Amino acid sequence: MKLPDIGALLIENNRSRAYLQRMEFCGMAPSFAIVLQNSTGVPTPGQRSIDLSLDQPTNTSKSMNFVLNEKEPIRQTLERLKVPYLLLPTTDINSEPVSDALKARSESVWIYSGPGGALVRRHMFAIGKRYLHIHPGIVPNFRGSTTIYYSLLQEGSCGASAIFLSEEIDQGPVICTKSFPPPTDRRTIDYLYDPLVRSELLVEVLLQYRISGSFKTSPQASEGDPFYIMHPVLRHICILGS
Amino acid sequence: MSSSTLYIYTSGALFDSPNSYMYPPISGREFLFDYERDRMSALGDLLKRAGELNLAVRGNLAAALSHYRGTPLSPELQGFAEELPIPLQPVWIEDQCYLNQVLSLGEAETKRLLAAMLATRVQGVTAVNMGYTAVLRQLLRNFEVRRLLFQSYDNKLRKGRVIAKDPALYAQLGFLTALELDSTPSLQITNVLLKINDVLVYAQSTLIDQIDCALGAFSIGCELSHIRNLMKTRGVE
Repeated sequence: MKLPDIGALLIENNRSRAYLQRMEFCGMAPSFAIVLQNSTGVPTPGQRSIDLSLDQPTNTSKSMNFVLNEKEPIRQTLERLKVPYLLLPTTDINSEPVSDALKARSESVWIYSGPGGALVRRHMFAIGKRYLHIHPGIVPNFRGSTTIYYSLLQEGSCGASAIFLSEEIDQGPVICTKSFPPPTDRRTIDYLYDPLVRSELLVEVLLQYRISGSFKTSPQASEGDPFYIMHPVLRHICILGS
Repeated sequence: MSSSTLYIYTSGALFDSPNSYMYPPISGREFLFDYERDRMSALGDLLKRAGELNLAVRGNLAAALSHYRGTPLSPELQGFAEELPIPLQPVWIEDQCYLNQVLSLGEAETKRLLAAMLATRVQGVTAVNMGYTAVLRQLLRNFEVRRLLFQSYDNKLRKGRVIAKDPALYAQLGFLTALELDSTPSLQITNVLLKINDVLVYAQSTLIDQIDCALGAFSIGCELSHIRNLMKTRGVE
């Protein structure tokens, strides 16, 4: 079932694959997709060189009976789902082609899966669209970057939050949050565990939306310093520790 | 400059291309061994130069640091500080008033700002200079975003002008951050201290002032102490 007012803003990486494939697994699809294309040959943050290659090895990972196929390009999934899409030759989420493409569409809510670390700038909010983001940490305590690692290192647990993006980093209204068991192999966090838990929460939110026809949100408390990208020493301690 | 093979964050032209720290390769326990070797090497250099450059003014850094903090150092840091051969002179007191003027100025010169913050630390953070913590936190936020210091900032400490390449500034900011970490431990402060010290280690060979060498040594020593404790509590032996 296509979700009538929902679009998807994607780039070729495991997060986007997990979002689309998990939606398909649950019998849903966005009504339109904008796909940012990396034609530079250099992976953006969150991409691997394998994501830029046409000759990808098969690799699958499971979560809640859902199997992520890392091999399948997102265009292939979109075509199988019969979701119309637009390819844009840019990886800049704030560029004019992206804002023009969004303005030309009627969908008001866009599932956000852009390049890792990119911040959506003010002018993108002036378009009048809402960006549905699954943040890998429970807000407001874990806002900012690499919070999946901070949460694991500080509390021994992981979580995710479904929020609408706002101009302030990770401070937008919250749809819901969810805790997850820590990964059994912490080396898989970036490219498997993170996409799987995010996609799990995404479909829960979308299933609720499909029933109710709206997103019920609540504001966040404003206090709390954000986390910045975790230093590799802390990241190693997190991965090697228990 | 680091000679380590796996710890790559103190090499390269960091003033031209700061570390991004995004999606780093995961190298296992050997990476942490290399990190410790890299830091210990820099620490040894700084301690040596601090001593050589000021043989006539030996003293007890631990006492000075305790005075700065208002409370005694932890036994581990006390032992470390006592290895340092020079005193920290409160030479920055004359600049203390500057901190309280910063927010009303059009532009904050980083050299004077850090001097004022060190002076404030000497006398203790009180209601008179309650802006200290806010200024430090804003400087650290800016550092997290840019991974470098600038020679000056706007009056909200958000926009910097001209990359600062003087290692003394990194030693001073590292020292202030280390004291903050020691008094209020958090992963956020640990994280930014690691990044400040990456730049400090990268540039420390040109650090010549004996007090700045001591400040830098304390910054690195404090970081190592916290990281080792974290490794221990998280079962990374």
